[in-house]
Amino acid sequence: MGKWAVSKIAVTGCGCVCAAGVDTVSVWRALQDGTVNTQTAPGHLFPGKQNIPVFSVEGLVLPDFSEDVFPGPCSVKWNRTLALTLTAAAEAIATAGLSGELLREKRVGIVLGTTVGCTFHNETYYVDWKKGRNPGLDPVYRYLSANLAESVQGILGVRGPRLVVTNACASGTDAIGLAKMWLQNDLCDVALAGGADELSRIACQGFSSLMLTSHNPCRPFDAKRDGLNLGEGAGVLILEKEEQADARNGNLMGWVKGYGVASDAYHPTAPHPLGRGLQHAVRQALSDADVTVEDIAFINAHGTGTRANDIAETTALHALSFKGTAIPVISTKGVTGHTLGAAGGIEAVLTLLALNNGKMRGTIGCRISDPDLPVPVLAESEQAVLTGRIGMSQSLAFGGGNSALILEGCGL
Amino acid sequence: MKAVVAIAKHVSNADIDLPFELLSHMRRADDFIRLAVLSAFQAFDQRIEIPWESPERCGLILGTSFGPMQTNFDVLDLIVKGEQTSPTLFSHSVFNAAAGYLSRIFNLRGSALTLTDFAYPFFQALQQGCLAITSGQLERCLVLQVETYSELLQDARVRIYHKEAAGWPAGSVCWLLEREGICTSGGCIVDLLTIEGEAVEGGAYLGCDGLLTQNGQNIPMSDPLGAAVALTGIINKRENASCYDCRLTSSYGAVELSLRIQKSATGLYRDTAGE
Repeated sequence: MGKWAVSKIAVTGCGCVCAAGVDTVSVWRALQDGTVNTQTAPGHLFPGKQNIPVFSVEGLVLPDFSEDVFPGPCSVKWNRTLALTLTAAAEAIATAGLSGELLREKRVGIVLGTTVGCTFHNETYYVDWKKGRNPGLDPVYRYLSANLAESVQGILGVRGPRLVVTNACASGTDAIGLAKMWLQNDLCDVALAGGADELSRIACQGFSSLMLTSHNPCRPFDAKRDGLNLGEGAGVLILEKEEQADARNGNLMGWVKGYGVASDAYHPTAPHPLGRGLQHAVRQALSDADVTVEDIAFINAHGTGTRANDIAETTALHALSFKGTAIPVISTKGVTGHTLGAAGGIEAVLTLLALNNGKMRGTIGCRISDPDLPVPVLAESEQAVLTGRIGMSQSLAFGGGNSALILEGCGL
Repeated sequence: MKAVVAIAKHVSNADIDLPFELLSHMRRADDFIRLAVLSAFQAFDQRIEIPWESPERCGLILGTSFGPMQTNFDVLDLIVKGEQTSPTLFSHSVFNAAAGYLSRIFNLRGSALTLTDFAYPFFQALQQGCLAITSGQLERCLVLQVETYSELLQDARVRIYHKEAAGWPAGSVCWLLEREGICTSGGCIVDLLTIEGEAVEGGAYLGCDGLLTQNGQNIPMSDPLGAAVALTGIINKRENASCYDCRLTSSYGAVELSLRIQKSATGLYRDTAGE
């Protein structure tokens, strides 16, 4: 990507919800404590019993939204993905110190990634309709009212560009990257960006049919890993041009410095074995950030716990001359599960927290790092003190999508 | 530096028979993927595995209102019946499956993004495609809208609007954007594109009440793909005009698009491969 002669993009707020906790502080604590909240999918989420462990968000209670920030009608529009999004968005807006009045003065870009959140998955309606029972149309109205970005825009009562990225597991990362491009091209003044996804029966059965799920808590990068666990959640960043954040004395948490995106052009579901597309996406992100491999102090990998992913990802890092012995490489999915469209958003938040804390615990579930990985990763029992404040969060997706963000923390 | 629409193609469900070159790649593909690939195949002058000089600088942005909805339901059918879920069917039900096929078949190794928007998916994709080119991220970018709908959606539309509405035609529109300077022989420069969304109750999207105004002419829209199809027809018709000023309005917002015809135009298509 070409060099931008434009603003630095500041992160002024972040919010996060997943099985590990319903806000950023509790998720970070769970990550440090190694808390693993897997369970079989609770019956209230969807019909049918799943025999695989998942990371579900328990006790999801919508925050007490202030009418100042959330004036729009929303009660008829709730679905679980939107509720997760709003939970993370409310925290992000609060930490950014943005008032409703200020938001409505600005052009607010909203770009969110999801997978399940964009599908019609009301099974009861579908089954009844298929049997010719003429079910009530409420589920159809809810689906048509549930475009994530449009819903959030309406509930916040703001104007500006909006977009839902449906790039499978890289959606959240791409959403943050697009928001950065919007701000740098003056399409908006403030951006709310990230990802959200709820658990669904189709995803559970589908990933199982591909033999990608584990029957135990997942163990990314471990020598004995045997698959992933699905999860749900949301991760959201508030982004602003740095000069605007400075002018309003905003809560500076760091910067989104670079974004890269590339395709493997290889296989519908499997990553390129050499991580070809990921290599290009990372090179592009480094160039966009105007930094080199040597500047990176921490890598939050996609790290799903499937063999194909873990090998492709670390092979790409090795080809790019990242040295795992010098740079801690970890996956947070041992605590969050694979939250699909939310993953990139949640992992960007956690990357920023790690960079600001200056330390990171190893991959939960990775007891003995797979010796076949071309780049060693930080195991569960290890902890790293970061040697810098610039890090990378990367995502791989079905369809051969790859994306990478370069983030910089500003210290505690 | 601006983006230029070098090629504009539209295929409909009626064209969905696959040519020989694509058969081996598409044996198990669903209609959503087939339409996407077929429209790109037309945009690339019926070539595949194109030896671009820089495949990493060639990408795609696919917009859709409803994605592969019927394929999702096909997966759900198996689950509801308690049958084994087909891994292929599941992987094709993911919204960006078509983007994966496109990047693989046409050797596009730059960004491959899928965007979902009930209101203006084609124009959202076009805006991101233009941004990818003007920012220097890409030199070439396919911009697509693909819609296959589903019987459930068609039925809901009839029930909500209390009339036996004609079914929406499935199809795909594919434009090839190129960086100004690369596209030297024809095409339309994208001078302006703005999208203004209005919050509406969801049912409005099934009403599809858009009106496309182009150089003073009014063209009513009746399906989500309609505006992209109409603009593709306008571009390819190449009537005496130096520019196309288009405004699309509906209860859910407005789009403004200005396209300026490059003076050296000798026909829309030219060799796009970097051999």
